[in-house]
Amino acid sequence: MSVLSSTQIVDRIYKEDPRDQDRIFIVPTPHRSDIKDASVDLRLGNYFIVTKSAKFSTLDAIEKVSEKHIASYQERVFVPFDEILVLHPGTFVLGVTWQYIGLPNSVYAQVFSRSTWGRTGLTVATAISVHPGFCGCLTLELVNNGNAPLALHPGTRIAQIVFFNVESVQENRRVSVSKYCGMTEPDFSKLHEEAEELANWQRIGKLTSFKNNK
Amino acid sequence: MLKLTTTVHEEAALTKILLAEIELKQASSQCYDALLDFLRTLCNEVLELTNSVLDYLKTTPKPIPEHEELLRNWLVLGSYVVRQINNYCDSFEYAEVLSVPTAMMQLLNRLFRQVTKNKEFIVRGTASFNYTYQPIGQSLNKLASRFPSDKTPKLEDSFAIITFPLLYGKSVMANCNLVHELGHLIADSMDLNKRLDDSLSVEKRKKITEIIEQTVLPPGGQVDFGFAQRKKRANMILENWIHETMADYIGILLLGPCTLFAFMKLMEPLASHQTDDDEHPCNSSRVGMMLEILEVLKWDKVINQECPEILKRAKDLSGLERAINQTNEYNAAAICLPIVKEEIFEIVRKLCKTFTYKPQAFRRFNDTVNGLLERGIPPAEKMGDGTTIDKFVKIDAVSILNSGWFFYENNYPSWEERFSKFEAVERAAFLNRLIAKAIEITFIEEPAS
Repeated sequence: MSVLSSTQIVDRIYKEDPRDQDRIFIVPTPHRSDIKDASVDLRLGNYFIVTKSAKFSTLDAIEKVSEKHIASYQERVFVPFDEILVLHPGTFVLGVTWQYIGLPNSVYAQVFSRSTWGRTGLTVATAISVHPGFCGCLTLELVNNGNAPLALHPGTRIAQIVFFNVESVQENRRVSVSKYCGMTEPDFSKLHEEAEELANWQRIGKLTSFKNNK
Repeated sequence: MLKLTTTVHEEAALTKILLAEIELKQASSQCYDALLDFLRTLCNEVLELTNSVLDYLKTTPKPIPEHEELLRNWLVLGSYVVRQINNYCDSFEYAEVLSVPTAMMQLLNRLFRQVTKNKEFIVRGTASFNYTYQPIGQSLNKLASRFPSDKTPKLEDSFAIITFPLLYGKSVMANCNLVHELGHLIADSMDLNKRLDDSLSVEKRKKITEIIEQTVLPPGGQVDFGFAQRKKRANMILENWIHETMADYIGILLLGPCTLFAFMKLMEPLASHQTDDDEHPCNSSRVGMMLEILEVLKWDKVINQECPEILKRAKDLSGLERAINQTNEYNAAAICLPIVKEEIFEIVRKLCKTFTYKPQAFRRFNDTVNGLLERGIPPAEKMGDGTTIDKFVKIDAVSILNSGWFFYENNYPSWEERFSKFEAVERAAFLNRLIAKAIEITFIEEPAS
């Protein structure tokens, strides 16, 4: 797996044929100045999800929290381009990139904070993986780890995406259908969907430990 | 007297608080703010009035009867205005940005400004399964004119509220129906209805009202309508039907065939398409009239080429064929509207001459849009960098909508296969999100930099 250079990124982004299987889609297409040596700058979108911490005690997948419960724990907010969202120290909000990303099967990507924002104490993404075939606007997990409140302007360059070549490509799979695929706004956590999988796994785990004890 | 004054004062003060609470919601448009400012200024007028009366009563606890009568009238008026303001507060419900189809709002605003250089309307969701148009500008101005002061606010007479079913809040494709309501607004703003009334010959009007009287209105023997009232009501029905047809035509001119597709999606599940009512001609006639104008604009060939199935469905739904062939029972609108279609079309075409969406624009972008949608990418642009690529080619929002509709109708099964992990509703939501994002991006004038 190798990191794509700016020349390779430009080559992949500006392919003319939209049906080209190797094309990386970033919509709207970034200007050349947004393409750095080995990354592309991403901009902050208008939609946010803020946490209402007083509303909920814990988020526990085993307790089978419903989608409705998780939604009541968080609130959607729209911030127009000429306004700001103030992120206070220690607070967490979900944001979204303004750009829509579409990756081919031959490319894997990771999202990182831009150092300009990192120096202010802002963490932009903690779940940084973008899998081959993913399409959608990327959800950003914004946390202010600094001491001063930060004003976030929608449209600002906030993150950077780094692309990696995937060596062995699954040819017949063209679009990833992960549970967060195709989103254009930040999406609520789908932790509730993990509950059943966790229960199955625990059942197997219990059987295994029973055998071991025996 | 003091009690009445304090009651009205309290009502106005509470209304002011209510308006302040509404302001905390995010505004969806400048019009939202315009209406809010209007109502707030009006509310302040009432507060000032009650404050003046309270001050007066402090110095004159027992006013002379003439003064008391005058003050009482003012206070009653103030209370009436406060109640009206409260009624209009309802207009802000589900009008904030997270509740409206933002992309469609932007597109409608752009279309409206292109045609009329005006921007006075609010879009809001309602629980009712219908799209409506409520012109409120005139009635609000009338309400404000009761206060003859310099501060009296004024809205555009054409100021209106357009509603959509909350059910379709996130469906940019279904909300193509909003363009019909926008058609009403354009017709009102440009005084088209009056122009049409003037252009309609006396003979034609007489002929149509006679048909309406015979077919739509109940027989005189059963319900006691006087002769003049029957004529008046028949005329009113004729005008309503013409206005509806005009709004449909404006919709087709601005958005192309997706106006018809969205309308069909809304009405196809209904049991009956043949019933006229006082407000609307029957659905089948409306489909028939829209098909005719699409034929004039040469869209019929495009539709037949892209998705013959939908054209067949539209023809089946249309009441015109039944009326022409006289093979089945037909309704009054199917006979009346063709009589005036030339006049309506002439007026609308003059208005939208430069803004008509043509098949050439659709053909130019359709392949690209399809290619992108197939891969789950919003089709906003083909290329994007002035330094490396010749020029920035942007697909217009209306082409995206139309291609999206054809994609939904035509290519959806293959898309369905690819996204089989998603449920049908999720797939449709995905497609709508792609199209909405694409429309949002078309508002960027050049590549992001």
